[in-house]
Amino acid sequence: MYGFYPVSEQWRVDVIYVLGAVLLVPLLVPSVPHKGLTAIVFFGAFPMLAFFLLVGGMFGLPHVETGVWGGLLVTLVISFTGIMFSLPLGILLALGRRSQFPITRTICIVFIEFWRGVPLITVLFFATYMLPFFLPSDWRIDGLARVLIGVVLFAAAYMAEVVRGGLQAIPRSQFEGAMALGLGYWRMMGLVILPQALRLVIPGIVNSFIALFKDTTLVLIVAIFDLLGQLRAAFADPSWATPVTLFTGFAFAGAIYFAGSFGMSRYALFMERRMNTDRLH
Amino acid sequence: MASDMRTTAHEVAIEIIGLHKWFGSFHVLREIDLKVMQGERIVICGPSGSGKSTLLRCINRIEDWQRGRVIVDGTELTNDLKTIDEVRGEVGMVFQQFNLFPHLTALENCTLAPIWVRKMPKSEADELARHYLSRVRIPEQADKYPAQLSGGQQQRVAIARALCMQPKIMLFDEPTSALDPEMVKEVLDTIVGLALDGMTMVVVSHEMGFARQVASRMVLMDAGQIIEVNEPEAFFSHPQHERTKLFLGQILR
Repeated sequence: MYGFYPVSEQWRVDVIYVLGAVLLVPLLVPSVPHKGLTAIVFFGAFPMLAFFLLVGGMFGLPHVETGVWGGLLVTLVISFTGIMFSLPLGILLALGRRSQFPITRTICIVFIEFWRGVPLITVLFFATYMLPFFLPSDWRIDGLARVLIGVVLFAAAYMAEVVRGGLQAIPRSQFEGAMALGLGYWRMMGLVILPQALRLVIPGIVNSFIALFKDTTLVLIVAIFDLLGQLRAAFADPSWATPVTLFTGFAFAGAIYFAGSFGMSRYALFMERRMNTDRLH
Repeated sequence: MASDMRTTAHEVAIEIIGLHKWFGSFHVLREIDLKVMQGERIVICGPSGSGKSTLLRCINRIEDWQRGRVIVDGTELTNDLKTIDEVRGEVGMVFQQFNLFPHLTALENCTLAPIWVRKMPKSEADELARHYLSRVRIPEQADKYPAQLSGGQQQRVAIARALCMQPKIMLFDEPTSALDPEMVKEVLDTIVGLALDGMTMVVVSHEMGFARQVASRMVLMDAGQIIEVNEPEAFFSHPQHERTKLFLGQILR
């Protein structure tokens, strides 16, 4: 749950867990009103609060190095950040790749193909061990932050291709219908094309989210202790040692990953059904 | 808006000068010149592939062209996106395949552009949309999704959607070609109603009975050219060109 987070400050992690759960429930249950407001709080205010509360260093809270973060906290922070930023960035990249402006298009294609062509492990290694050599020595970026940026860009490239698949499935007539109303490019995309395209690719988007959630375990190799890493650290701890620690430990971690992934997939299925019964087509 | 149109009936609504368009090496439009006055109702007919729809789609620049000029309501269409969107706001278009947005209800289809382009408050846009949905005689279908409506009802929603922008000009691209025969009349009646109110319109249609009823001028196109422009009476009873006679002979039997 906490990794090596200082015991006296662990209440901060608890607050984030509870707040996250409390906000997530009304966001996911369709019948609860004020979706827009909840979404703003969850995707806007909550991450900022989480950042200040977890990192600390101001408002009288002692600073906590991200190096001592660990366990489920790290897994969730990486997954949440990855999911939250990769979708909008992926949408922009997909639109850019279909843009009529050659420069925008080329930049987006190069970006997407570059990040898709590199294994995530390489990205993580590069971000952690290589990048500092290329940056001026007084340019210190936090290790976890570097990994987060790497994960987001990596996931966004995949997301872009998923979204592009959806955009291509929208018939030309929909673009023309929107153009004829004088909607202009951004309103046409935001109000007419993307709502239909994203609905079509929900399975693909969720696929990417689940893959991302599980890929977070790779941060272990750059010495960041996620859930799995924390587990392995616990094996070495004599106070936890029993003959079955290895088995129960992995089974427990497996169960958590399964619950997360399966939960996402069931929820996506539920959303798909709900949208289909609404729309009948 | 419909009322002041009648008082300014002699102003030019659309002017097309020397328009040429190629699809690759295929010359779709050749030297098109056409002037449409406010309050006029032009019906364009001609064999398929003659460029009628393409010409119509140039008027709101859903298609671009290589040579020539198009001036709509005093504004020349150039590559400037802002001008294009302004003109599109003044020109309503109804498509053969309706092109309704399937993820929105009939009412939301109608209010989308007024709210986002005209910045109209939602309540006012709803009222406007309900007004036009009543006008096309389907007020009770407002909260249904397009897939729940018949073809004729969908096309009438599409007409209401275009009217909600309170356009000065309406373009109809074969509005009844995709409909079952029993639904053609309900859509044509709606368009005739608009014509009686003095709306400027350009219609691409094969419905000759309808054309005779609403047109102030008929246009025949063939192979990307305008062959004949004439009053409907003369167009149907004494066509000037052999090509017109042939075409009318084929479709009127």
